[in-house]
Amino acid sequence: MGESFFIGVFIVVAINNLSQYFDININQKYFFYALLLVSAITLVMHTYKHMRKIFVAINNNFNLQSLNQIQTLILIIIVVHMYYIIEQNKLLPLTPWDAWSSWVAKSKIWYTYGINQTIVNQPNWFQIIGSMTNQTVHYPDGLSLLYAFNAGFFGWNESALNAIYPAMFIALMLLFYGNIKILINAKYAWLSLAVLATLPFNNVHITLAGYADIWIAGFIIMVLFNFQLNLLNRSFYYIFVASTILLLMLMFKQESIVWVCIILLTFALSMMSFIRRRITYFLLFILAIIWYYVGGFQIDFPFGKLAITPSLIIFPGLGKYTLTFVNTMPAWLETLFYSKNWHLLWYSLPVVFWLYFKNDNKNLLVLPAVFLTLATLFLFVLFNMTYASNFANSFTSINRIVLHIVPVYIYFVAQLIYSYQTHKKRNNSHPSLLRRQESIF
Amino acid sequence: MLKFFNIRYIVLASVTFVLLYSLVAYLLYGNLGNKSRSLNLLSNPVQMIYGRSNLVDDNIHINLDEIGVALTLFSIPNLNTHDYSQLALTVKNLPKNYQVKLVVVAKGNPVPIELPLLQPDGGTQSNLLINDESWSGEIDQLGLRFLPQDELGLSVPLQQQIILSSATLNNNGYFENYFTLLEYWLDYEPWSYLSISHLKSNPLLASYAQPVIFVVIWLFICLLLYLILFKKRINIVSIILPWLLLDLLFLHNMSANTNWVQAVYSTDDKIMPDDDLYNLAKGIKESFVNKHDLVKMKNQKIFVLTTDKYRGLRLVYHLLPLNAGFLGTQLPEIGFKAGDYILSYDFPENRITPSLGVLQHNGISVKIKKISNGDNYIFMQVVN
Repeated sequence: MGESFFIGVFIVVAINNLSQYFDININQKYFFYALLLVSAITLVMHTYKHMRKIFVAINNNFNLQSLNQIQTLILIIIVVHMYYIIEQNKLLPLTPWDAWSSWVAKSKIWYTYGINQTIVNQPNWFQIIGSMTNQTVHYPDGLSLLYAFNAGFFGWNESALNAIYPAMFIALMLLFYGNIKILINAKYAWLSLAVLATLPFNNVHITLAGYADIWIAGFIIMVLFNFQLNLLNRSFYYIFVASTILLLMLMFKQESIVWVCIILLTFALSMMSFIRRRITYFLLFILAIIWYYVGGFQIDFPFGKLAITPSLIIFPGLGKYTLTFVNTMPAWLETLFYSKNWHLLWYSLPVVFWLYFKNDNKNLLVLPAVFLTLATLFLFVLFNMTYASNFANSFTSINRIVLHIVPVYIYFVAQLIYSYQTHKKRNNSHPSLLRRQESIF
Repeated sequence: MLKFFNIRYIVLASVTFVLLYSLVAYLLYGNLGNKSRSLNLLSNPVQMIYGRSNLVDDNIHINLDEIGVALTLFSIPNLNTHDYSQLALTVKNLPKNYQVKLVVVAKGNPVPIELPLLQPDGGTQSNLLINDESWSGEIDQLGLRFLPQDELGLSVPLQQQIILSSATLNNNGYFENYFTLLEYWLDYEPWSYLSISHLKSNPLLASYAQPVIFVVIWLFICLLLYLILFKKRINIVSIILPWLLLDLLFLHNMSANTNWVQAVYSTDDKIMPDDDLYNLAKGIKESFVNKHDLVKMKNQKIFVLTTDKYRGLRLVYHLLPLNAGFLGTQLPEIGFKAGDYILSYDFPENRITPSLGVLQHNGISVKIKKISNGDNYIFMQVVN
């Protein structure tokens, strides 16, 4: 159910983006109702066809009487959090700076003039009669198109449009719970869900809606869950869903290209056998040394120049970043361990390292572990080597980028503890996906 | 259930919590070797800079000024900040969206400094002063400023009488202040624009008294004692309890913020901190846009000129769906055509103003016709 929400978002954004490409104005009101009608018909037909299965699934998954005391406590805590979030979200106007000045401003233009209205940068705006301008014209339009789509139903009401955030968070919680339940078990799914739902920074991002970061966090964990399930079941379905969400991620935020590269590299490494993976790590290490000594590389593509050298990074479309070390360690320490953003989440790091190296059974841990390692490397380069160090020291973006990997980290910790416990109780443990995965590798 | 809620661990955690809390409260409020002193700031008449006051039964009743602010100064002898570490304050009748700040004028520095204080709750509260680096050296003047909280940039003033019952500087009071640390943890922190990027720690608390650090120390001590005393495996409840404590503190603030949001935004009228900009944009839209002729309006651009980027961008947003763009203070060399508009918004001393029908700036001149103007803006149309 949670994943369906994100697939639905993909359909909306993709159709709107395509119509923009072909300069067709889709009336968002009719589009909303058409999609609602199609969804309702599909739902009714699916329910009619699989009524028995659905009732069994509902009975198994949503039976409140089957909850134990801890699950009930977690459910109450989540409901309280959601009450405060929704109560504020539904009343507050749009407040975050980047939202009103950028993404939502674009959708307000499209809401009025149609989604094929041309928006250009300022130099072109001066010259092209009838064009409109926005400071993030070069940015992907996913979030703007989603707001424009919702405005088709709600009209231009900022508070009502922000309601997409609590809806998304509920979908994220559902997919988070469901996938961890499949990959580990219900107990770990409940505890992981409690952590995700109670983190103050997550709560604030839904309450003061408008930023894309929580969306990116949802996309990344959904892709990794599907890749993880593909490693277990080798089904094209999971690859299809993951690819769809990777595309959606690119439609939401320009910087997503880095996450997509990291995720694809992670998946490729996870597909390899233990020996091949070790050889690849070694080769990558050797390549890194050669790269450093030859001064990096530069390639001219038709769409722009790509340069990755020890002192400069140029990404086509993303910009040019001079690499100089800036110490942002105090900001890192404050943001992760001292402020009120993450409760005790990052204090688990020493335990995580200890458990990871003590754990002999790393099969299901490879994917999240490689992802988190590469993500850490990326965050280090971004906040310690580039101009973004300013945004780390001013606390304007360090937490928001960390938010992208938080659901993956929570899942990783849960999987790590479970793998460690299972390993200890190997002799009398019940059959699980872990055993199935062992047979695959 | 009982097995899950390991009773032994809970008892141990409770005892450890009380002991650790007592130690931290002592480090914060105990009289650490200094001679006990106190100074009643209300023993002499107070001077009102903003607002009015009158004395009723030894309480000072303060009336806020027309914009909902009051500033009172105490008549004090010269004092040294080293002699006093706390300010005990009793303020009644203060609405939740109001705050009190201690105004300090240090000797040799006429620029006043403001120290944040605990959100008054009607009772006597001890505010820590020594953790603020501004509280140092000799003090010339001391006062209190009452003002609305700046919630998401929005201050909502109220014309309500506030009662100042006591104000005392002192440097001790461990038992009287035992629960003040808890008050700091529960102190109201309204959302700000930065909240979506960072939820900062309380700068007035020492590092060991920050909730997260306190909880980590508590957890570590509990686990260590449990392993030593009972030689048992650690139960999940050892993680749940500290997490729950931090979460309850966060939820307490969420609840307070929700109350404020409900009180301010329950109506359809979404007041914003920049209502002046909103109303200006609304006025321009209403007077110039024929709703049935949006396309024509789209062909006429509005150039927003201002030194303030935030206000410039907000004006552009509020002016939508009109075709507006923020230029800063740079007039473009090309792009103006007859029929376009220029909105120059700023304080009069910074504002780019036309002279004799010509707007001239940075070597570029544009012939204009003034359409309307106000205290902070001039709205013009470009002519041939």
